[in-house]
Amino acid sequence: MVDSIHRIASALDTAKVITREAAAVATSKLGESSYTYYSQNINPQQLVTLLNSRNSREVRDAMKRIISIMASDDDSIDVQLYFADVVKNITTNDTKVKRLIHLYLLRFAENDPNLTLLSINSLQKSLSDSNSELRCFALSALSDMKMSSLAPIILHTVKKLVTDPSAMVRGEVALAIIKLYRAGKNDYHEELLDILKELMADTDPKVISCAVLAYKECYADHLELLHGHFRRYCRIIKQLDSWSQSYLIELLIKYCKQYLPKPTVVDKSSEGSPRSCPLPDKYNEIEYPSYEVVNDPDLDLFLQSLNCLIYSSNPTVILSCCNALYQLASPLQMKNTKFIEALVRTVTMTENQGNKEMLLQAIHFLSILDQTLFLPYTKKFYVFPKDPIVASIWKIQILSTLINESNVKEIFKELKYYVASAHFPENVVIMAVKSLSRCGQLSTSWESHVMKWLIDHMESHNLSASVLDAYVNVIRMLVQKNPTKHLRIIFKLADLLTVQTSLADNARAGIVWLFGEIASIEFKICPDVLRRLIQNFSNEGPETRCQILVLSAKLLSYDIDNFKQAQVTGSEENNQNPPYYDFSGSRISQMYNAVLYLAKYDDEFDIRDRARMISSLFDSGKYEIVSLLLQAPKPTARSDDFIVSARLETHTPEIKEFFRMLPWNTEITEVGETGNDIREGAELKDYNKYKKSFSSQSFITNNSARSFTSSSNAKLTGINDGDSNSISGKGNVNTFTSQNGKKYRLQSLDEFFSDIPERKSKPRKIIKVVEESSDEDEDESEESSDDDEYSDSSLGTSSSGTSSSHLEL
Amino acid sequence: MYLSFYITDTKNKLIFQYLLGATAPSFKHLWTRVQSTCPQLLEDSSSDDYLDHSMVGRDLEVYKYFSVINKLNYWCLASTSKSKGPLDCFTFLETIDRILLEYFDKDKLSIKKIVNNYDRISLIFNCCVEAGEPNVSDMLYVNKIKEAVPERSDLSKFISSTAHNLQQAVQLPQQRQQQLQQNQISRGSSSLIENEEIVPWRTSRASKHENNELYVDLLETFHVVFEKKKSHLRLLTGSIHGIVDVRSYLNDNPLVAVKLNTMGNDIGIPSLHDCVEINDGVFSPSNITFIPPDGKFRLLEYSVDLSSQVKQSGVRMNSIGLMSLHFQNGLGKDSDEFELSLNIENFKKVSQVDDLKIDLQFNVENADPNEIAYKIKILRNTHGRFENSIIMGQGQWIFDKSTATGTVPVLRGCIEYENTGPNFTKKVDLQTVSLEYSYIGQSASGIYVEAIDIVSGLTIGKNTKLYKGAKYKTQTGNFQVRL
Repeated sequence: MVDSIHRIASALDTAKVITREAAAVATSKLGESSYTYYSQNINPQQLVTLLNSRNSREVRDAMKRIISIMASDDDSIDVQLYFADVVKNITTNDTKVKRLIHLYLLRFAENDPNLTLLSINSLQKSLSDSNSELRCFALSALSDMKMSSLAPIILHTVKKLVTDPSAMVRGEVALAIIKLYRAGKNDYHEELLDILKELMADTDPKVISCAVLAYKECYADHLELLHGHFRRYCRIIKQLDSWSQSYLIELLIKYCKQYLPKPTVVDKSSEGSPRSCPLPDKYNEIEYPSYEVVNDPDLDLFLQSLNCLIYSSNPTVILSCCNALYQLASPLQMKNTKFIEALVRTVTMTENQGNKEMLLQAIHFLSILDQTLFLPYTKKFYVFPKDPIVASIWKIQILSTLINESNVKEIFKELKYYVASAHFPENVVIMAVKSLSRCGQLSTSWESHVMKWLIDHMESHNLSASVLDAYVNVIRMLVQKNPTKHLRIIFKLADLLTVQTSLADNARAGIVWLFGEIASIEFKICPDVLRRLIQNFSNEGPETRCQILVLSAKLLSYDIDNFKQAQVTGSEENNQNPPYYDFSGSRISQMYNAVLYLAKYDDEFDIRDRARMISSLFDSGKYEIVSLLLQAPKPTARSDDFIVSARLETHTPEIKEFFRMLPWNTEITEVGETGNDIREGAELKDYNKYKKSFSSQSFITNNSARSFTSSSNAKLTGINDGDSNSISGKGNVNTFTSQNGKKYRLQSLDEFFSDIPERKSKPRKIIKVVEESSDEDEDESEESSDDDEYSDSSLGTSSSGTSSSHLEL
Repeated sequence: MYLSFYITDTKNKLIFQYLLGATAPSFKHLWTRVQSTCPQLLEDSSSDDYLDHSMVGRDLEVYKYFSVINKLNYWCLASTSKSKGPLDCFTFLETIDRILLEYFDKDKLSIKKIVNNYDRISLIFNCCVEAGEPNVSDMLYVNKIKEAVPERSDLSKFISSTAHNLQQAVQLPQQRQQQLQQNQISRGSSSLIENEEIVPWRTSRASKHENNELYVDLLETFHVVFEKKKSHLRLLTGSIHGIVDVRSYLNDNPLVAVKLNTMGNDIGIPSLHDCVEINDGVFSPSNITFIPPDGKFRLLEYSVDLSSQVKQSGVRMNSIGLMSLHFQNGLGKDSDEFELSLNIENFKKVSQVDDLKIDLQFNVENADPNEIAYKIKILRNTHGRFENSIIMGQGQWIFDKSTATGTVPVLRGCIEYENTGPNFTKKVDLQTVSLEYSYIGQSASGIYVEAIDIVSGLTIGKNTKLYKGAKYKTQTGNFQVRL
C-alpha cells in the first residue's frame, strides 16, 4: 500500500518536473524576455545534449545560447569546448542555425583548423544549390575561414562562381577576392586580378559595387584597369551602393590625374587675344580675375556625373565629391556646383560628433585655401550654446578664416560675445580671443579697436590665468606689429600694471616683456614703468620678477648704447661728455643695480642664475655682446605661434591625407600602339539580359510591360515557364495574392534557358534537383511553422513558386 | 578593415560585441588597452580632452560613435589603411545604429532589446560587414537584412494573423479552396536565378500586411539665437532642421508620391533616401515620388536657413516656433528686479506646448564671488516653478508637463545682495535666456504634407484598407536670447 503510494507520488513528481519544463519552454515562446531567461539557464551539460539533439529546435536554442555567450563576452562558459558539437550541425536544413554556425566559425575556425574541415564538405555541397542566397552564404562562409590550406579550394570555387547567373553570388565573389587577397598568398594575385577584371565588366550595378570595393582594397595601383570602364562607370555611378560611390570617386580622381590631360585655364578678363595656362598645381592660384576652364571631355563627363550624387544621404559621398572638385576643378567650378551647400548642410545637420569634427576640419582646410567658398554660410558657423567644445573650437577657427572687411563687424561682435560670456568653456574663450587677433590684422583701426576692447575687458573682469595669457599674447602680437601707432595703448598697459595688482603673474610678465621690446622705439616711458615696478618687486610672481630683471638689463643696455651714440655725435662738436658711461650717476643703472640686488637673493634659482649671468655680462664691460643678446629683434609673433591645444588646431592626419593634392601626370601616353582611344568601352559581361533595369524610374516608365501588376493570364504563363514569377514566397499566400490580380512576366522557354548559360546542356536534370529540394523544404517549413516562433527561414533552400511550372503536367 | 565592433552603455559597460576573427580582442582586452594608451576616449563629449578616435597600437585605430537617440556608444576597432576616408568609420557606425532601429522598428533601442536579441544582432552585423568592409552588395538596406535575418514573429502577431486567416477562410471558403488546390499544384517549382527585384531597397518578398498603411512623420528641430534690441528681438543666426520619416506597410510594389508644401521656405539641398526619384537632376519637394522600402525609413532631411530668409521677408521671424520672449532688467525702485514674459501664440492646430523649460543666465563673471554675495529671489510667477542652480548665476524656470497655447506666463524676480558696502555696485543682471520645449501638430517652418498619393502599383482588395496620415512635431535644439 505504502509502496504504491510512493510510486504514485514519485510518478506525480516526475510529471510535475516535466510539466514545469514544458511550461518553461512554452513561456519562452511568449516573449523575448522570458526566452532570454530560459536561454540563460541552459547549463553546459544541457548545451551538449541540445547540440546533439535531433530536434532542430533544440539545436537552435543551443546555438542561440552560444552566440549570446560570444556576444556578451561571458567568461563563465568556454564555447570553444563545443567546437565539434557545433560544427557537425552545419548539415542542418535550418538556415538560421547555419548562419549562427557561420558566426561561430568566423570567430573560432582559425583556432581549430582540423575540426573546421568537417564543415567544408557540406558547405561545398551548398555551392551548387539552386537557391542563390544559399550559394552566396556558402561562399561567404567558406571564404571567411582564414586557413591557408583552404585557399586553393576557395580559389577554385571563386573561378567557378564568377559566371553564376545570380548577381548576388557574383558580388559575393568580389568580396571573396578581398578575403583571398588578404590571406597573403602572392601566388594568387594574378589569378584574382583576372577574375576581378571579369567582374568589373559586369552589367549589374550590384556586382560593380562589390568589384569597386575589391579593386580599391586590393588593386588600387592598377589604374589602367579602369580604361575600358571609365565612361560607363561615370554614367552609372548613381546606381551603385553609396559606399562604393565614394570609393569609386576616389579611384576616378586618381585615374583622371594619371591619364587625363591637365585642364587649361583661359583668361576671359582681358580683351583681345586670350591668354591661357594649365591649371595651377595648387588650389586657388589662378591669376586671372575671370576665366574659363577647358577640360578633356572625359574629365567633363566625370565632373558632370558627380552632380547626380548631390542629394546623397551618405556624408562620405558628399565629402568625396568635394575632394574631386578640389583636386580636379578650379575654385570657380567648385562654386558653381552646389556641393559646398551640401557640405555645409551635412555638417550642420549631423548628430555624429566624429563626423562633425572631421567635416568642420575639412571646411576649415578648404576655407583657408579659398575664403570665398564658405562666405555665404558665415552665420552657420556661429557657436550654439549646446555645441560640444570640439565643434565650437573648429567653428570659431572657420569664422576666423572668413573675416573680411564686409563682415568683420558682425564676426567681431559675435566673438566678443564668446569671450565675454561666462558660460563658455575656457578653451572656447581662448580660441575666440585668438580669433580676435585676426580681426585686428585687417587694418590699423581694427588693430587698436581690438586691443582697446581687450584691455578694457581685462581691467574690468576677473579672468583665469590661461585666458589672461591669451589676452596678453594677442595684445603683444598686435602691438609688436606696429608699435609706433599704438602708443596710447602702450600707456594704457603701463597704467594697467600699476593699477591692477591682482592681475595674474603670467599676464604681468607678458606686459613687462613687451615694455622691454618697446624700449627700442619709445624709450622714454620705460624707465618710469620700471621705477614703479621695483617698489613692489618682492610681491610679484616669479615670472614677473624674472621679466623685471630682464627689463632692467635691457634698459641699461639701451641707455649705454644711447650714451655711446651721443658720444659719437657729440665728439664731433665738443668733447664735454665723460668718455665712459657713468654707472653710479645714471638713474637707470641705479635701478638696474637695485633689481639685481633683489634678484640675487630671490627664492627662485632661475632668477638668481639669470641675475648672475646678466651681472657678469655687464661687469665684463663688453657692451656690444650685451646689446646683441638683449636687443636682438624678436620676430613678430604670428597667430600660429600660440596654440590653445595642438589637437584642436591642427588637422588630423586623416584630413591631410584625404586632401593631399595629387600631381597631374604630365607625360600622358594618350594613345595605345594602335592609336585607338584607350577609354573606349570594354566588352561587357551580361548575365541577365532579361533583368529589369535597376532604377525605379524605369519601373514607372516601363510599368505596364515589366512589373507584376494585374493581369489574368498568370496561370497560362506558369505552365511553360520555370522562373517567371517575380515574387515568390510562402505558397498559400502567393496564390492568394495572385487571385488579387498578380501578373507574372512572360518568358519563353528559350529565354529561360539562356539565363543559365553554363548549364544549358542539361536543363531537365537541374529542374529535377530543384524539385526534390523544394519538396523537402515544404515539409521543413510546415514543421517549423508549427513549433517555431520564426517565420519561414529566408535562406530556406528554395522557395516554392506560385502559379508557375510543374513538370508533371 | 574592421576587426571588431562593440556596443556599450553610456558608462562604457559592454552590452554587445561582434568579433570578426580569433585575433580580434574582446572588449575587456580593448578596455585595458584604451585605458593605458588613450584614456581620453572614455571621456564624454563635454570634456576638454574628448577624443572620438585614436590609435591604440601599430596600425590599429579605435573609433567611437555616440548615438544620441539610443544613448549607446558604438565602438569599432579598425586597421589603418590609406584608402580609408576620414568619415568612413563614424558613418558606418551611425549606419549600423540606424539599421538596428529600423530593423526592430523602434523609436529607441533599449539595452534589454539588445540582450534579448543577441543572436539576431550578431546576424545583422554579419550581414552588414563582409570581408571586414561595409557590405556593399545592397545588404545595408534593412529590407535585405530582414530577408536574411527573419524577424521574430511573436505570439500576438501570430494570433492576429491566424485570426485574419480564419476570417478570410470563413469569408471566402470557395476561393480559398481553389487557392489551396492551386497551391498544391504550384509547389514544386522554383527558379535558379533569384527572384527579380524591382529596386534593391524593397524586397520582392516584402511581408504581407493586413492593411495598407503609409505614415509620414515630420520632425523639425530649430536652432535660433536672438539678440535683444531695445524692445524687439533680432535674429542673429538660425536654421531649422527637418526630418521626414516614413513608415510604410504596403503590399505589392506601389509608387508613392508625397507632396510637401514648403510655405515659401527654401529647403536648400536636402539629403534623400536612395528610393526618391530625381528627374533631370533637380529635386522638387512638391512632388516626391518613390517606391518605399518596407517598414520605417528616413525619406529626406532638409535644412532651412533662417538668417538668409530674414533678409528677404523680414517678418514672421519674431515668433518662430510659436514663442516670443521678452525680458527686462533694472526694474523696481532699487532697479534690482527683472521681468521675463513669454508669449505663447494661440494656434489652432497646437493646443499645448510640452516640457517647457527656461534657463536663465545672469552675468556674474565680472563680479568676484568673494566680494559680492547675492541671491535670486522670485517675486511672482504665473506658471511653473523656479529652481536655482548650483552653478553661480543660473536658474531654471520649469513648467508643468504641458502648457496651453495662448497664454502669457510672466516671471518677476529680484536680486538680493547680502552685503551692501559703501563702494558697492549692482553688477548682476539677467543676460541670457534659453528655451526648451516641443509641441505636436505643427512644424516650426510651416512646411506640411499636402498629399500622399499612391500613384500606381497597389491593388486594394475587398478586405484590405488603405490608411494614410501625417504627423508633425517641433522641438527646440538651441533657442537663445541674448541681451
